[in-house]
Amino acid sequence: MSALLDVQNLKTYYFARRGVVKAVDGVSFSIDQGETLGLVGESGCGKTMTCHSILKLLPKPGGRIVEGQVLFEGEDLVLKTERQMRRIRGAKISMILQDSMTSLNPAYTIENQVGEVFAIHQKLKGRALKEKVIEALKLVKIPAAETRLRAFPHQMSGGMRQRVAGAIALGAKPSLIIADEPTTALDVTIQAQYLNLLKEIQAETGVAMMFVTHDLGVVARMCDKVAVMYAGRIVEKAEMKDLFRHPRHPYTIGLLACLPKMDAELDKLVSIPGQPPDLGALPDGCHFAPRCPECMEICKQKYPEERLARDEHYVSCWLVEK
Amino acid sequence: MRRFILSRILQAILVMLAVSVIVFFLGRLSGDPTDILLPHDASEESHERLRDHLGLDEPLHVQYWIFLTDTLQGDFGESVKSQRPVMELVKEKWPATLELTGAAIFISLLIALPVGVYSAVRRGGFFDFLARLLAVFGQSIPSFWLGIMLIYIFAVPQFGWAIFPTHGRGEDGLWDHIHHLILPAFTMGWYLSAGIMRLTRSSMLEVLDSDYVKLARIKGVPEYKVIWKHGFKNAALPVLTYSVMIFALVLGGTVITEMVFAWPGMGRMVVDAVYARDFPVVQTTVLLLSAVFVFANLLVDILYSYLNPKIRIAR
Repeated sequence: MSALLDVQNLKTYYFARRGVVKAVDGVSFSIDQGETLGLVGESGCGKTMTCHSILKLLPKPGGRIVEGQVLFEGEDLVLKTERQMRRIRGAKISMILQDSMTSLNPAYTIENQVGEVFAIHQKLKGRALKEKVIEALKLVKIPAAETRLRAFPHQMSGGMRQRVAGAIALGAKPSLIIADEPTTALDVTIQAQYLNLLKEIQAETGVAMMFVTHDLGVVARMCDKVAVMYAGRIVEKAEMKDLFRHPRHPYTIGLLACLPKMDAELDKLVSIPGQPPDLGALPDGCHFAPRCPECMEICKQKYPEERLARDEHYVSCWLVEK
Repeated sequence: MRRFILSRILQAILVMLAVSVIVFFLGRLSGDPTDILLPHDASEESHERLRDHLGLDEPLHVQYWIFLTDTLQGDFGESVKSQRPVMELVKEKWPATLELTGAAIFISLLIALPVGVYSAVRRGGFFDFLARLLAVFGQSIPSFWLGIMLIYIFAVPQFGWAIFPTHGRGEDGLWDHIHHLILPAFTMGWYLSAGIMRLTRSSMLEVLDSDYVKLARIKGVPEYKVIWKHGFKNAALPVLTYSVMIFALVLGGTVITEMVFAWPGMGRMVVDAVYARDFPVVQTTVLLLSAVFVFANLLVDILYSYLNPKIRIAR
């Protein structure tokens, strides 16, 4: 079976006045129908730019896909026109943004903002539109959905707002949802609720998800597969359980070591020393080399190409035999 | 909230008091009105008598006190020159000024809003460059010069086309009204549009960078709707505020345009009154115009906190 989304060697650069920022530099991964992929990495490693590349909503002017393919349902999105992309956005691929405080428009009611999706993609009006909106709000379990139609975002709690964002994303029954740190802005208790809700909806609708996060706890809870991103490239990707049990890349190992453990002594938090590199001035060799505890001579000279460590487990590291 | 409004009202009263002091004493500095009212060869005795009649023989602080208490009781006095009640004169001129200012604001919004919005959308592009250049011209070309140039080009057959009248306010029906209004309104509107355009642009830039505009694009909303529905409605609030303030400010600033186009409004009346040392007229009109401005400012401050939900939440 061919994958729902197949990203191959995607390169998205940002051409700024002071030089080229290689935000996404040769990224490949795939998501099957109904599957959840976790894209993990530190802030500024190119996660968000990867998401925006899939939807082709890049910062203008300056952001550009320079190479690679984004195959969605077998068709290359990179080649699509803006008009064709508009029919895909919101209908087949949608996205949940980090903070619904800022991602919902303060000037319009919930009905208006959720309804827009149906008005555009299904050309619905009046009564039928309203029913669809209520249906979408019920899907994300907003209590007393009918009474919330005329509410403005600032009249709702953070958790409810993020559900509305979910209703907007899921309303038109897309086959892929990109969730860009959707729980970061929520309280911890609400976070768990929200994640469970997404899982339920996924079981119900069979929507595939791409979960962008820096929280490995969320990954463990939500994802089937994980891709670890560092400085514009994916350094390791594997089945979720496999990655947690047998991490191979020193960066992944470092990330996992950073997770506080309940049984360990609590006096010290572990961190990876050093800073991620500037995406406008990357080192010649492996991008992680300057921070890597096991850095070798070759690491400083040449970037290691991707190699298969075991079944479906790919690593870009010289430590792993080809 | 109530404390905020009260303190703003108190401030407004203080400002008005200061204005009354300034306009009163500054007027007195310009000289003796009897020099102008009486013929050159009038005797010192008749000067005396007229001064006595006008109340100018009293000490200044007494004069000010009379002026202040009369004004507060709604008595604005009589014009020294025409002997008519000042309020009557104001009522006569007021509609013309209001009309000119309204038309100027309308024209400036008509120019500034679309230009501001699209220069934000095409940020850094050629259109943006042109628009910003235009804004510099808008703010640096003096109104009197632009007015005279427009008259040359559009109203004098020897230099350009005589398609608009050179001066005055139309009297035969609506079209004549509009016909007379266009050049002076454009002269004023041109200057105003620069400020409104800049504000629209910066406000729009901020909004276009927001997450909800991003989400609108993610939803597949067509670009014109992203800009006008999701962007402009949110960017419009500061622009609206500014335009209301400008409207009040400009009511007092029509002087130059009214002079150039011989527009029979308040601005011209003030200038004529200053030349004639017609103190009651100058004092009343300046006070009124500043009152309108101060009141509009107050209104905007209060409205703003009601209009902006975020401010409401913060309280």
